[in-house]
Amino acid sequence: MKKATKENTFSIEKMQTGIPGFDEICYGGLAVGKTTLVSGTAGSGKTILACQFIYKGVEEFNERGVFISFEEKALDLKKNMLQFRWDFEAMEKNKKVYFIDASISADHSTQIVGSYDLEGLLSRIEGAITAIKPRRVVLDSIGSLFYQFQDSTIIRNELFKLVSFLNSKGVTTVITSERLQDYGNVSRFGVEEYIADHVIILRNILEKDKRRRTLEILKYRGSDHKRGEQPFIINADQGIVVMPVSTLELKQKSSGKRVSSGNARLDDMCGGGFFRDSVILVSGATGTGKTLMVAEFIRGGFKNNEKVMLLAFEESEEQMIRNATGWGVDLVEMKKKGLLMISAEYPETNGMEDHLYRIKQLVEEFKPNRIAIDSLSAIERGSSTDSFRAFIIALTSFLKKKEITSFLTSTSSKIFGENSVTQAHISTITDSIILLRYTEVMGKIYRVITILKMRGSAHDKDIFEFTIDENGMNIQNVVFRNVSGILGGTAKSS
Amino acid sequence: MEEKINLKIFVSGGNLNYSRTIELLKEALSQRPGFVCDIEIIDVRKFPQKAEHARILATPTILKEALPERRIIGNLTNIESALKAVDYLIY
Repeated sequence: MKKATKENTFSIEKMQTGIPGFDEICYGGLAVGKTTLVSGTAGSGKTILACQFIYKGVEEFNERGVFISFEEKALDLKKNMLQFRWDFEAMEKNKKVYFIDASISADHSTQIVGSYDLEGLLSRIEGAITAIKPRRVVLDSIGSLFYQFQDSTIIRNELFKLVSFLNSKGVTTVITSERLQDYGNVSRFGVEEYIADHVIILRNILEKDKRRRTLEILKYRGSDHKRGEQPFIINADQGIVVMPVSTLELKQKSSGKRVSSGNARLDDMCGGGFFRDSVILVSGATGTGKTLMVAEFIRGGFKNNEKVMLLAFEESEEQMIRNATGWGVDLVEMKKKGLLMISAEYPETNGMEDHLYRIKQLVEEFKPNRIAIDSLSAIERGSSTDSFRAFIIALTSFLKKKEITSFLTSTSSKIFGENSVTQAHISTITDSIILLRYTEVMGKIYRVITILKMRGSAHDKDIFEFTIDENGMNIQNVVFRNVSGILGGTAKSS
Repeated sequence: MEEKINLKIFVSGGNLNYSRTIELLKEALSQRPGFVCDIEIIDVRKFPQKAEHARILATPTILKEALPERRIIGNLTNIESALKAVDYLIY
């Protein structure tokens, strides 16, 4: 279990929800005995969040829950939640949860003729509370009440009564409410913000051509919390998983331990290899040799008996194995020994948060010492600058924490010269940057390599020519001198 | 032969305004010959499980369970509205 990451000045008692990542962003969970409003557009995940709150309460903390469903029939709801293997039916039998079906029924017709109150509902909730003594209560979603009863003044008053009744019982309440737009007023029925101590917004935004889900804590009375939109995914194994945007950790607990890049000459250029817990970025145009460097990086790990994970987004596993064989790197043997894992997939099938979640999962399972991602540019396609940057920060800080040597490639869009958007975003986050370039010198094309940056170490600052053959990358000792403009793609005598 | 109608009226002990509604309901029923009515008054505060079973949200609610199921929500205020409500329930 995660514990609160920040002490509060007011020591309000908090309840862990058990929703992965959520307790982290509100520094420990929801305030006990208070009411939280979850507002979002249709399909933003409100009901799933509400169900998960109840389910996790029982499963992880043995806290019973009452679920009042205004929108969906309780029966349908329980059935739908089986997609996450949340068996509410069984929990209900064991008196761990109690469903109150307050949905509009199609089997009778109703006329409203005069003044009324919601004492019927209130007494049912009281009955449920007496029956199972819950710690968690959900009302999903209150908008339905306004449609059923139309007199919004009465419903507003009754909701006030209901919420203060729940507060008096000491239960922690989650109320969901639908809003019409992802950005704009929280309140649709003029009551939501007033009955809730905390307000959470769920969003489901179309960003470029990808759906992106975010969760934002808009208001949390009496406690600090993470600000801004935090991405989350809905996953068949776990339901909602919030992925807090991590702030970049600048404290380098670097051990100073070096590992081989897989190329002896390159190790020399780096002053003795890469730092073990560093993030290395290789940038170059297509065909300059990035994937070759990946293959050598893998071999470097293998020779040292390290476990290596390759995430290939540009090529299939077979293709990758074939290419590596051409450079004298035998990936099949490494796989057989269980030291290499290759995961190849099309980046377009997943959103940024799904990638992050998957990579984390694979890392937790395989526990590699090094990881190579070929290439980041493939992941970046079809996503916005901000979400890509957030992805890179979250990924690299995760890998650093695990002390995994990370080798990332990035494709520059120009064949000659430099024009890499990716690099500009992420160069501050990476520890080392290696550039591969084509350059023209006196009418001849050369491949060149240079180390642009290597944090915490002296390194060669020259630009070297290299060739590629069946032994891999051969970095020449010839340094381009008396010419300039090499990285620009055209060298001039100077 | 008189038709028998069973009605349930869900009220809340916390709210005493319902006695006028019951009076008006009985009076309206007496003005519709050909029906014998049995009225069960249920206090949701005392019998939450009955409210649960009938899925009652609002009080007062007059419920006719026999098909076609009909419900009237809200207090009756005069005999005209009571007669309309009764006609809705029994016809």
